[in-house]
Amino acid sequence: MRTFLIATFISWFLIVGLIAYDNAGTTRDRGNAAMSGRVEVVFWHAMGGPLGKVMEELIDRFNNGQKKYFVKSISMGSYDTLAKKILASLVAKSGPDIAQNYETLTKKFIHHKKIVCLDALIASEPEDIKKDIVPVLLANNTFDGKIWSFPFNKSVPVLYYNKEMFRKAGIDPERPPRTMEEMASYARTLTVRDEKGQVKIYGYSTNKANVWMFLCRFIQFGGRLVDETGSDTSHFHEAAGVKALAYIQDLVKEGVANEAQGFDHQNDFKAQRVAMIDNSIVSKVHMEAGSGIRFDYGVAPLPSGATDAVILSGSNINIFDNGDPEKIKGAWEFIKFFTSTDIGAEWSARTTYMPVRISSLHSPILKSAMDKDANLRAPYVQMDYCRYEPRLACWFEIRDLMADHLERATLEMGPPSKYLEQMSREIDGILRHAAD
Amino acid sequence: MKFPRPKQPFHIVIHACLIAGSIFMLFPFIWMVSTSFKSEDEILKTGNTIVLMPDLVRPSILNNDADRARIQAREKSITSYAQAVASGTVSGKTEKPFYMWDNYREAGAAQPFYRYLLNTLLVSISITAGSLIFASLAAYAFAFFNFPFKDKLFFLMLGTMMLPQQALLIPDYIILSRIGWINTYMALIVPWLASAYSIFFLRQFFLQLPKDLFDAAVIDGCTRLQFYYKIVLPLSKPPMVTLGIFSFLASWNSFVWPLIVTNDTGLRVIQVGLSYFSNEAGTRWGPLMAASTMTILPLVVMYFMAQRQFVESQAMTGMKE
Amino acid sequence: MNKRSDWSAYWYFVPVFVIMFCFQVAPIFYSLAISFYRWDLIGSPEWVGVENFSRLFDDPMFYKSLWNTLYYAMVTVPLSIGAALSVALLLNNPISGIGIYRTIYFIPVITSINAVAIVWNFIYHPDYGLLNKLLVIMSIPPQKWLQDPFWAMPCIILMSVWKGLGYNVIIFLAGLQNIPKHLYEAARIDGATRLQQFRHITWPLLSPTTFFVFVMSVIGSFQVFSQVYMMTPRGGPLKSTMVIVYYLYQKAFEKFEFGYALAIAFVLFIMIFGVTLFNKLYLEKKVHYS
Repeated sequence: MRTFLIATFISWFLIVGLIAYDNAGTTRDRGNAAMSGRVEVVFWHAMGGPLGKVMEELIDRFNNGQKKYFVKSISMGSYDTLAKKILASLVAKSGPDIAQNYETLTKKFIHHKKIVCLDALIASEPEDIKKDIVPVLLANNTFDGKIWSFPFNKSVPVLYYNKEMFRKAGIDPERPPRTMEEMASYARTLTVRDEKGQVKIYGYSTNKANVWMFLCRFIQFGGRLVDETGSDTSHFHEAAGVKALAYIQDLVKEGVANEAQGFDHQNDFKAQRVAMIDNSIVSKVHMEAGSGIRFDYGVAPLPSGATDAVILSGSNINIFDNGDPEKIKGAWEFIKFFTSTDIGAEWSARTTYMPVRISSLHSPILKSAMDKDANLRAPYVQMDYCRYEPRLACWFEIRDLMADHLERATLEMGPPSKYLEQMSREIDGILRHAAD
Repeated sequence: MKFPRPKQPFHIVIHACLIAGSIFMLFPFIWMVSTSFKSEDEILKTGNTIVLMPDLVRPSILNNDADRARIQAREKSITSYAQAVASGTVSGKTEKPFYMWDNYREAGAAQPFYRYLLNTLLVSISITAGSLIFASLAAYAFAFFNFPFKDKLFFLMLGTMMLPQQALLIPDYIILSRIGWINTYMALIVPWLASAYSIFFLRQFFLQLPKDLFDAAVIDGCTRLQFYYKIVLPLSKPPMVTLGIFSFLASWNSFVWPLIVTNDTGLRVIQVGLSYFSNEAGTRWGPLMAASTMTILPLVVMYFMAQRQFVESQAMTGMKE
Repeated sequence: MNKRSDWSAYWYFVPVFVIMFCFQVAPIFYSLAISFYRWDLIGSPEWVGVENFSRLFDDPMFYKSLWNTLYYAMVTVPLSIGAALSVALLLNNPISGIGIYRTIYFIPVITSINAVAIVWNFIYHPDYGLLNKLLVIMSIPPQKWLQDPFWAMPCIILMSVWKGLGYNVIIFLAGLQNIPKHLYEAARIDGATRLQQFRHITWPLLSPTTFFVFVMSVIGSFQVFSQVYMMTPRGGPLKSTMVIVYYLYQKAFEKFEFGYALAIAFVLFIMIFGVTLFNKLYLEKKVHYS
C-alpha cells in the first residue's frame, strides 16, 4: 500500500513536470509570444482536418510576418461546439477575441452589443477594401447598412460526378447535367442493378433531410425565401417547394437516388457506389485526403431548375468587443492579412473556399491552380448567382424544424404539400413569435 | 454422502455459453483494432465479406482472389506514387499507398493526443486521490461521531445524487466563472473532489468495523485523527481500492464537463480530443478507429495491471449496498 | 463510541462540505430559480413565472421524449438484469478460467462511451457495418439500423446493455457468493433440481442484490444521455431516440433556452425521486433481507 501511494505521488509529479515541459516547448515554438510583449489575439474556429492545416499554416505566416500581434488559434472541433462555447464564454467573460460565426449568431451579438462594428476599421485603411469585396459576400455581412462581420470561409454547393461511370453508361463525361430534368434522366441511366434487381450503383445521392440542399432546389425552381424584415411569412408550401421536395422523393422512390446520412455520400462516391453527389465544394478537399479519389471524376455547377441559383454556405468572422483596442486592432490586422489579394487567392486555391476579394479572383495564383485542376473552376461559375439564407435571429430554429419535416417527407413518402404546408404553418408561428 | 453429478458435460455447456458471450463482449474491440489497421479500400470496398485481419498483417496463405487483387493494387500504387513524387505531379487524384500505421499517424497528427493523455492522467489521479481522502474523512465522521444535524446532512447528501448532472452544468459553470476558474485545471478537478456516492459507500464499510476498537484507542490516548490514519485507513484498503478504480474510470471517461469548462488545447482531456477528432474526421472510419483505440488502450492496460487488486477488493467488500 | 454530540466533527467535513455546497447544493437552488426565467445566456434573465412549466405540459416533444425514455427503461432494465444474472449464474460455478471471463465481461464497463459509440456507429452502419454484413451472409435483408425510426432505439438499447453488463455481473456475483453454501447442499439432499434450487434459494436470497441493481438501473435509464447524443444526432430518425435528458440538453445547449431546460430537469428529478420512492416503499417489501 505504502509503495503504491509513493508511486502515485511520484507519477503525479512526473506528469506535472511533463506538462510544464510541454508548455515550455509550445511557448518556444511559437516564438515566445507571451514573453516578447506581443498582443495575443485569441481566435476560435471550427476548421479541422486538411482545411484546418492550411489555415494554421497561414496563421503561422501572419505571426512570423510581424512582431506586434500573435494570433493564437484554437480549434473547437465543430460549428455546433464552437457556437456553444462562444455563448458560454460570453457569460464567463473568458471568450475569444475573434471567432468564426454564422449570421444568425452575429445578429444576436449585434443585439447584445458583444461585437465590434467593422465600418470604422475598414474606413481607416488607405485602400478602398469595400470596393474589392465580392458583392454577394459584402451584402451577406452588412446588417442595416453596417458591416458587422467579415467573410471568412464561404463555399458553394457543386455536383461531383464519376467520369468513368459516365463513359460506361455512354454519357459524354465532359458534359455534366445542366438542368434538373437532365440530372434525373442521367441518374436513371447511371443506376446499375444486379440480376436480382438490387441496386448496386445509385445514379445520384444527396444528404438526408438537408435544409441547405432543399433551399438550393427550392430557389432553383423559382421559390421565394423568407425575407429579412421579420414581417414575412413562409413560402415553402408554394409550387417551387412542392417541386423541390417531389424531385428528391420521386428519384428515391424510383430507386435511382439514395439519401445518405451525414457525410456518408462522400464515402459512397469514393467507393464508387454512386455516380453523382451534390455537396459543398470543400468536400473535394476532404475526399481527396487519405487514399485520394481513385478514379477520374468531375466537378460541375449544380444543375438549374427554372433558374440558376445556389446558396452560400460557411461562416464569417466576428471581432468581439473585449474592451482592449490593441486586441481589436490586432484582430483586424489578421483579418486583413487573411483576406488580402494573395493570401486570399492561396486560401482559395488550396481549400476551394471562395476568395473574399475580387482581385484574388483575378490573381495568377488562382489562375494557375485552375489550370492545373479544372475541377476547381465550377464554384466560380456560380458566384454570379449566389445567394444566402435569411439572416434572422430565429433562423436556426426554423432550419431545425425544416430538417424534421424534410426527414419525415422522404421516410414516409407522402404527398409533398402535406409536409410543406405543416412546415410553413410552424415556421409562421416561429416568425410571429420572434416578431413580438 | 456423495451424489453422482454429471460434472464434465455440464461444465462444457457453461464454457460454451460463456465463450459465446465473451465473443459478443470482445468483438466490437477486435473489430475496432482491426479496422484501425485497414486502408480506406479495405474498409469501403470489401462488400459483404467480413475480413477480420487487415491486408498488411494477414498471412498470404489466407488471401482469396479479391484480397490478392487489393494487395497487388497497393503495391502498384507504391511505385506509381514514388514516380509521381519524383516527377512532382502529385495532386488530389494521385493514389497514395497505405502503410500500416497511417491511420494512427493521421489521428495523432490531427490532435496532440500525447498532451491530452498527460492532462487526463493529471486530472484523474488528482481527483481519485483527493476524493478518496476527503470522502474517507467525511465518512469517518459520519460513522464514528455524533454531531448536530447529522441525519439531515446525510439525507441532503443522498439527495444530490438524484438530480441529472446536465442540470447542474450551467449553474456550476457560472459559479466557476465567478471564481475565475474557467479554462484552468482547477475547473477540471475541484468540483469532483466531493462525491456523495463515495462517502455513502465508505460509511457503510466503516459501520462494520468493530466499535470497541475506537474506545480502546481513545483510552490509549489516541486522538481522533490518529485513529483515522493509524487504524481506520489501513483496515479499509478493499473499499478504497474499489472506489479509487471507479472514480479513476469516471474521471478518465468524463466528457461534457471538460468540454464546457476548458477552451485551450493545452488543457484538453482525451475524451474531448476524441470528440473533436470524430467531428473533423467525419466518416473516415480508419483514423476514427485508430483514435478510439488510442483512447481505450491506456485504460485497458491499467485495468489489467490493477485487476488482481480489484477482484480482491470486490471479494472483500462484497460490493454491498 | 463517542456519544457526545459536538461541532468539532465538522472539521472532517470542511473540504467536502465547501465543495458540495458550491458545486452541488447551491446549483440545485440556482437551477430551480432559473427555471422560472426565460434566459438565452447572452441577455439578462427575464422573469416568466411558471410559464416554462405550463409550456412543458403542452409540449408534444416533451411527451415524446418521456415515452422514449420509458421505452428505453422498460426494455433495458429487465434485459440487462436478465443478462447479467445469467452470466453471473454461469460464473458462479467451480469452473476454470473464471478470472479471464470476469475480465472480459468487464472491459466494456471501463471504456469510455465516446469511444465505444464511435465503434458501434460503425458496426451499425448500413453500407459498411459489421451487423449488416453478418445479416447478408445469413441471407437476412440488411437494415438501416440507427437511421431507421423503428430500429434506432433497439440499437441504442443493445449497445447500452453490452456496455453495462459487466458491472451488474460483478454485483450479482458478489450477491451470489454471499448465499450460504449449506443451503444448496441441503436442497440437493432433498433431491431439488437446479431449477428448483434457483427458484427457492437463489432468487429469494439474491433479492436484496436484485433490488439494488434494479433501483440503480432505473435511475440510470431515466438519465440515459451519452449514447443517444453520440449515436443518433438530433434525436434520431423521426425523433425516435429523443430521450428526456437529451431533450433537456438540446434545449439548453443547442437552442439556448435555459429556463425551459431547467424546468425539464426538475420534472425529471421529481419523476426519478417518485419512482425511487415507489420502489423503496412498495417493491422493497417483496425483498428478502436475511
